[in-house]
Amino acid sequence: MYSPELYLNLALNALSVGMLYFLICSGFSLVFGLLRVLNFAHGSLIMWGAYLGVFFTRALSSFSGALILTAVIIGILGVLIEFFLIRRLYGNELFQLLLTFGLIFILDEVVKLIWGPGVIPVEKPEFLQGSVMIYGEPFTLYRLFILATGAIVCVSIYLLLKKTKLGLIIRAGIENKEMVRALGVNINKVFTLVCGMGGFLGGVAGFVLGGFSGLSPEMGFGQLINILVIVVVGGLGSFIGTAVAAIILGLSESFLGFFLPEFAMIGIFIVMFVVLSIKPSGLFGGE
Amino acid sequence: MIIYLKRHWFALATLALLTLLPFFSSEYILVIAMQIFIWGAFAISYDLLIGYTGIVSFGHAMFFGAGAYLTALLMLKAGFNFWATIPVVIVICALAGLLVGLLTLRFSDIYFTLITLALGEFSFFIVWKAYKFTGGDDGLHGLPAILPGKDYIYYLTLTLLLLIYFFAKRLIGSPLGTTLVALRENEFRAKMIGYNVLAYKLIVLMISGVMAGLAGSMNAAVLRSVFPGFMSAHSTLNVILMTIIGGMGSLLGPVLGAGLVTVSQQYLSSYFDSWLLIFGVSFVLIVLFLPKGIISVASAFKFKKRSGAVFKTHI
Repeated sequence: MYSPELYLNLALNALSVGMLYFLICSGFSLVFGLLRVLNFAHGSLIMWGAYLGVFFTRALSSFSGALILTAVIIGILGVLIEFFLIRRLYGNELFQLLLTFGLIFILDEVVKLIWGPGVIPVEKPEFLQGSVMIYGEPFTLYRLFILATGAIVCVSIYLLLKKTKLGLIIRAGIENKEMVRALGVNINKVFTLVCGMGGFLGGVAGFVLGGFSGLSPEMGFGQLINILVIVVVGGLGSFIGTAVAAIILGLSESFLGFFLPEFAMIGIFIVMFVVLSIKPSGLFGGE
Repeated sequence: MIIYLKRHWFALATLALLTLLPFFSSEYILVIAMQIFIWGAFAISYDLLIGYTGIVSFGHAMFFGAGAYLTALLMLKAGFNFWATIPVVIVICALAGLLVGLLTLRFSDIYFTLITLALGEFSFFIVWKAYKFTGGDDGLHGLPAILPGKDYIYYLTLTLLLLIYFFAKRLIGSPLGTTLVALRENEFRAKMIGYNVLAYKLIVLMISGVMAGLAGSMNAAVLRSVFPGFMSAHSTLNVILMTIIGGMGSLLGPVLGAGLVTVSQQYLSSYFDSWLLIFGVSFVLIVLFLPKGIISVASAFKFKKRSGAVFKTHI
């Protein structure tokens, strides 16, 4: 039989995968929650975050500096996409879907143009290369870094939403946009800002993901599938649901990957079917 | 008769050209033409969903791939004749459409979009992983030729496209088609009038799935091999590009789009690796500025005077 230490190690690994999923989904979920726009290009934004992150880490030779710069640039990209493209199509869900879908082509092809179509392995920064021993089982430092980043992002989003005036407006906007507008808030500016935040979070997620799994021009679409499954399982528009679903999916993937490696790739779909057949609107979905 | 000729001279001329094509063109051009016909048929099936009913599936390639793999597997492993696989493809694709619809259409349209994308990837993984059956990455090869010459197969694919086109045209003109457009325009109102929205969506999903499946099995028969790529998101991306660029909400638009995308895929890709970038940009521009696609420009010029049946539902 397997020892309890092994299970603990497996659980910690699963938790770090879940945190990574949470980082990947957080921007998407935030944008959908307020704007009701499914940003299919979010996976590609994450991929841009990963590529830029590696590029800046090499150019700046400063890990934290590169992280912030990447996140800010992807955030600006998010603002630009909202301001010039999505804004034109409010009220037309079908075309918003198609628009963000079309952006995938552009973003992915430009990555291929600049960095080539091949896979690029990424070396983790020196101070994150080793591993720590937890109850006699090794746990890599990079996974610890993912856990820490995920926790920081989670807490800061919580604080932002619950403790600031902007968060108040966002939460009110999720409930009823027209009423917020009627009360004299320029909600269009808030939309743009939230898109920027979504991009920022995508940049952070991409940066972390790039160091974790390397770079490839297909990673954007792959992450998009993960995002969609997680968001559907958690319940569309529910931020807590996204977090919980990300952890569940991380757990199921890691444990399946260990005990039934054949099923690891389709594990997330199985979880999705099970959840949807029990509760069609997702774990935390309303309606 | 003369009036008919006058109205449809362009279509008839195109048809005559396509019929005579094998007599004066190279084999390479015929292969491309067949790809256009097959993808055109696939794109029409997609347009029934997105253009006429207003529901966006991001996993439509699963029907295309299912048709292709069913035909290939039945011919190779069970010794079926190509024509004998067609009824199986129709039944299985209709059932698959029903199942996918029941799984997804109970929710809002957004759920439908998300879950079809996930389902498409899921079916791709299954095909890709089931190495023993499907040959995994390599696909299946060496399907027996279904007709004794390239030219015959060319006419067969042309017939398939025409059949699917006229079937779809008939469907759109029928009360069912009008109801579908009503769902697109205002689902809530249609529901209040008393239409069973779910049933109608299931029906159109089944029809569209069968059409896509037929296009897929034809593709398998033409190429005499199948690849997991038929089922992958790439096929879905292609068919979306074709439908949107050509023009959704019309039946000629998707065929035009299929032609444009296939031809550029063949010719542009040899000069410029990132030909998809051009299509990405034009896709976004069309979504923003020309929501009815390229065909709407043509119809504004050519068909201004008449109210042809093709554009009747073109609201």
